[in-house]
Amino acid sequence: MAFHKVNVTINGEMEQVVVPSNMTLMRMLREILAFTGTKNGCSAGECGACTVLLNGEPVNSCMVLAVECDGTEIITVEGLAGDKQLDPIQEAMIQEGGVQCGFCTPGILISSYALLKRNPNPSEDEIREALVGNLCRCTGYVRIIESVKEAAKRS
Amino acid sequence: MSLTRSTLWVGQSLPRVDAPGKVTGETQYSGDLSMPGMLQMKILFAGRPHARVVKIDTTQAEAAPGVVAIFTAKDVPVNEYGLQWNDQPVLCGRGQGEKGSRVAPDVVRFIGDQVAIVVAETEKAAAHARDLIHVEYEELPAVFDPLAAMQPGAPLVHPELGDTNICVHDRLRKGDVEAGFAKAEVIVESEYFTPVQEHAYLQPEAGLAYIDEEGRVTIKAGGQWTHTDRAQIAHALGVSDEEVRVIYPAIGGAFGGREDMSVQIVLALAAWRLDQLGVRRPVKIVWSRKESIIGHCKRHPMRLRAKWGASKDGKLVAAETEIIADGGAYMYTSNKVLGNTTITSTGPYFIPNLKTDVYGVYTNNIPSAAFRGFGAPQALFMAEMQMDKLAEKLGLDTVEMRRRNALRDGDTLGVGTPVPGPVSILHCIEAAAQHAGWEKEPDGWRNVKRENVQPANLKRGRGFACGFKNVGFSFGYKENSWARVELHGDEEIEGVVAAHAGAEVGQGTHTVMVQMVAEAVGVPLEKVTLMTSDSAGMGNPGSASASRMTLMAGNALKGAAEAALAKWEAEERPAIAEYTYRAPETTPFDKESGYSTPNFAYAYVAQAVELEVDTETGFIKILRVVSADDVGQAINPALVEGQIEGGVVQAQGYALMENFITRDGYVLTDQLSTYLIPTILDIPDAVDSVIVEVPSPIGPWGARGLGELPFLPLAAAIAAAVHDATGVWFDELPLTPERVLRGLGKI
Amino acid sequence: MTINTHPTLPEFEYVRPETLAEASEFLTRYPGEARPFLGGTDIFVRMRDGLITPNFLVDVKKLDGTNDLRFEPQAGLTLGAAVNMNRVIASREVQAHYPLLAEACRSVASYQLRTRATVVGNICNASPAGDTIGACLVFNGVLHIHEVNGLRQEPLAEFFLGPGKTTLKPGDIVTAIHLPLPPKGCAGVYLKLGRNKLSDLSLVGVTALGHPDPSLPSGYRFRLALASVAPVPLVPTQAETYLANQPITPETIREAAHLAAEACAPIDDLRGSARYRKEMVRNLSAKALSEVWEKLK
Repeated sequence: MAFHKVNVTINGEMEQVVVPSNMTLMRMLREILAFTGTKNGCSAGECGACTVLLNGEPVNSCMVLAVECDGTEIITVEGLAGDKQLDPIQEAMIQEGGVQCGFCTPGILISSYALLKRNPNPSEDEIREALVGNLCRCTGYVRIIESVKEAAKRS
Repeated sequence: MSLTRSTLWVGQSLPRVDAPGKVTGETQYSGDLSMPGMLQMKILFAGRPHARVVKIDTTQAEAAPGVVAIFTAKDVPVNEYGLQWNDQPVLCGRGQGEKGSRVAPDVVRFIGDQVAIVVAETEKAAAHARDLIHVEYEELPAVFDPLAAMQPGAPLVHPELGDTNICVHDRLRKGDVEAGFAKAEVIVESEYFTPVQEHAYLQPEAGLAYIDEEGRVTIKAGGQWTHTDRAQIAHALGVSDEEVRVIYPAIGGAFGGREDMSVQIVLALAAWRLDQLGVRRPVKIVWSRKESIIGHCKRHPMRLRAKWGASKDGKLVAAETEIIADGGAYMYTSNKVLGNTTITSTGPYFIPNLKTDVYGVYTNNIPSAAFRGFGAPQALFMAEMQMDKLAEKLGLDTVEMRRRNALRDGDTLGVGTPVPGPVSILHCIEAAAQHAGWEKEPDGWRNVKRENVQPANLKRGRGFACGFKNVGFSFGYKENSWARVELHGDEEIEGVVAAHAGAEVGQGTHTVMVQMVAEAVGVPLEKVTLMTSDSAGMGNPGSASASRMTLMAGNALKGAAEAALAKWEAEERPAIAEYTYRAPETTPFDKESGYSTPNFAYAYVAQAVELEVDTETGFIKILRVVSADDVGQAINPALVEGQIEGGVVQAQGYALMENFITRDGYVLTDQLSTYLIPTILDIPDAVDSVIVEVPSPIGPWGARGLGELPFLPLAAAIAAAVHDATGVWFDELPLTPERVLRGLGKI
Repeated sequence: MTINTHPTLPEFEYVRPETLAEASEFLTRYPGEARPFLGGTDIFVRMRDGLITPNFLVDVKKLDGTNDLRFEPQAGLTLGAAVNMNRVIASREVQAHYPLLAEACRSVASYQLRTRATVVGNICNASPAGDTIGACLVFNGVLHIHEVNGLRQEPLAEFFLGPGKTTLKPGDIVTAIHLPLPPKGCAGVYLKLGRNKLSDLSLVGVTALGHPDPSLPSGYRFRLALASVAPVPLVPTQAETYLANQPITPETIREAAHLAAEACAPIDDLRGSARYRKEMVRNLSAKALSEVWEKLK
């Protein structure tokens, strides 16, 4: 199996990695680059825990080949906060209790962040529709919705 | 009712202490861990429901590139384990491990039994080599239906344990049921079926094992009880507890599913055996979702038969119940789960005459064990449905029916002894009913119907149900929890270091612990440092289960804090105190009658549901859930609400959607695309949490327990609302659209 | 079921040709071994489950025209193969002229999966459950196919042969789907039933489109397409013909829905029984046709 050189910008930093054809973006992030904030919950595009931004759009990183990401920009949960300042969606998730076990949280944050970028004042229905691909087994989602509403107010 | 607010930190909705790490991606779960020189492991699962391992040939696999070692039964010193009974082999096969073992170690009893482990340089190499292990099996006749498994002549899952597959039989005998039924105005007889439920925590099992600086086999893998994980690992390795160390990284949900072993023993075995071979390298494993689904226990499916009678004035007079639960291939915690099913099968009601038989049966299915509610949700589905049907026959409102029968202080439970008070089910009933729109009239509670302005195919209904459950461990277990508190400083207390090994599985217990320590010592929150989740250097915390952690850890930390403060007063610097809280004693069931004092504390809940049934598609939409939970004292109300919302949605999945399908012991729903859990679009339009606070005399600041409560009555409340909407009783869960339409006679 | 799973996708070579000609040539050279590859949302799942084992995935996402989403007022809509569903949903032109297509796309899985999922990919997988196929069928979609010898066009209605089976030959690459201009005054609806909201595969999907047509006895033409109820996406022509010839009333709509249900041959599977599906086709077809009729009246 051939290996491919991939140049990517991750959270603003240039990285060059060599990956086999069958490596997913999720595994490249977690195993080569140690961005373990991106979680592996199913490897099948079903749970959303591995959601990252690829050129500004959320994707299930388990459903994207690393080799396809040559020349792209990726943002993971580690890249949401500024130097000292958390992003409003992170702040809101802490304050509103949107986090319990936290395993779905990175994916939820990325999906919510992307939603607020494309729609700064989402309705509750729009929030639900944007997050349907992110499963959570702990919270019952109620406080996640509240967190996104609160983040919209803050940003 | 509430405590007078003289508290500093107890009762405040503070943000979680672990949230910052979780929102930045810094928090490490077991699958995120790595160490220099780390090897990777894969497990060979048997993949068949019942077979004898005749021969294992690892020659080809050992020669595969990247393989470091392969271990099988012959490498396991004591090849048996189990939380309650040691009835499961660590690795199926013949070896040295028969020593003292009660069960045949070479028999595979469900598809997820483990046969071999492969340690290699990479995960891929390990998986490749695993596929090159040749195992010769002798297939054995298998049994999958618990009713068939109870029959004489059925294939035996554990022939060495006796000539029956019945592994649990609990009985309650109280009063005289025949005499009771003779006084009944109405009698309801029904048969109910409740399904398997998969925990589906978002984080699949994973772990890392290594030999620590003191030579201990150290396992970092999420669990619910550090010290029993350690004990089970040590038993299988044939070493002392002190030679094993269990550390919990962040844990991605548990709900009971991590109480039993998954990857821990084999990980420890690998690191320990490698070390003996001169390879001191850490070993890591991460399960796929499919491995998780076949590899860990499930909620017990049950068949529940009930005959209940009530007098003209709506008082329960007698109940006769038979419950059969599929325990799966091994005991796990079935005996305790079913004990709890037995106790809760009366509902939170006083019933003078009782005859109850609860059976647990071995089959070749995936083992059943702990899952939020621990046997109570199934029993309460039955009990609450019986209440509704009796109320309907009597023409009584469902809330009024419950009010008339609710347990009161001093009432005896089915086990023949008084329920420890104060009993607060009436508070919960009234709170939930009022909030949900019932009205109290001179002759009792009444469900005030609203206009149904929906299209003809959308039928609205309201349902109500109650639940209760023990807090803390039962049946004579010496329930205890250890803590240490250190007070540092000179003139003033400058820092507090508290230690408690209790598991944070997402419920927020570490946050609550910090609040309780700050409260007990009387310092600002920032001064408290909490050390957690390590079996080394900490005493037994007890399990993060049975809704017990707030009560048990709270009492332990409070006791340690008080003792440390006394030393501080005596000028000790630092002032350090350890304290083990011991709960009031309990006793096991009498074998014949069930007579016992099984629990030292209970918590109560009542819920109301409003929903809409689409009679053209069978879909049920939940409009509103009101959940009134008596937590004694909410240490952190925001976390309480989070638990209620999460519990309600998990129970909604159980009631409506989660359909775990197996065929001959094989799982057909082994992914999240086939086993569906609720998404954000499936949840109720509103979940209203009503926090009831009737203080427990033994709880820290009056706290009872919470985690399981919101799960308990929801399925019954939903089924009652569906009946209210359609006039049809549904006695089998889940209420999938297809089942609903069939029940409505539409297909 | 797979018990002993593998952590990664099975091995394959990733190939990114520079031109369509090169891509077709490569695919022709490795028939049965090489597959064109768009978003991967379906192919990866099937590869992980061991259902398919391609040796080569040929990425056609950056090739000529595959990224175009173009509306021409005289000709209609051309959707390049690599245009993802979120782009389709967000397109003003799609919203203005083919809202039914946007609605169908919105019902597919989740937002993050739709960043990768494409309409052409949905079509090429030829799953009877494909949510967007119905809209493309009722708009009389035509596929643009690049083959070794050049380009050809193929009506979507003739494309499906069975579950996962199409008329595509080795070397064929679907570069786009073209939808002619929508009929004047049309209205459409897509009703999808899944076991949970939105993210599940459809148990049953009903696409309905209607528009005035003075040449027909009823004065209206109705189109229907059904998902997950037959080996291929199904157009119940008997129902369509019936409504072309009868006055449109609640009764004739019910009869048409009955004809639609009779036309389908669903299977029992984990998600639902054939009996339930058939009944759902009846109910949802009636609902979909009524909703369209309400919009037309």
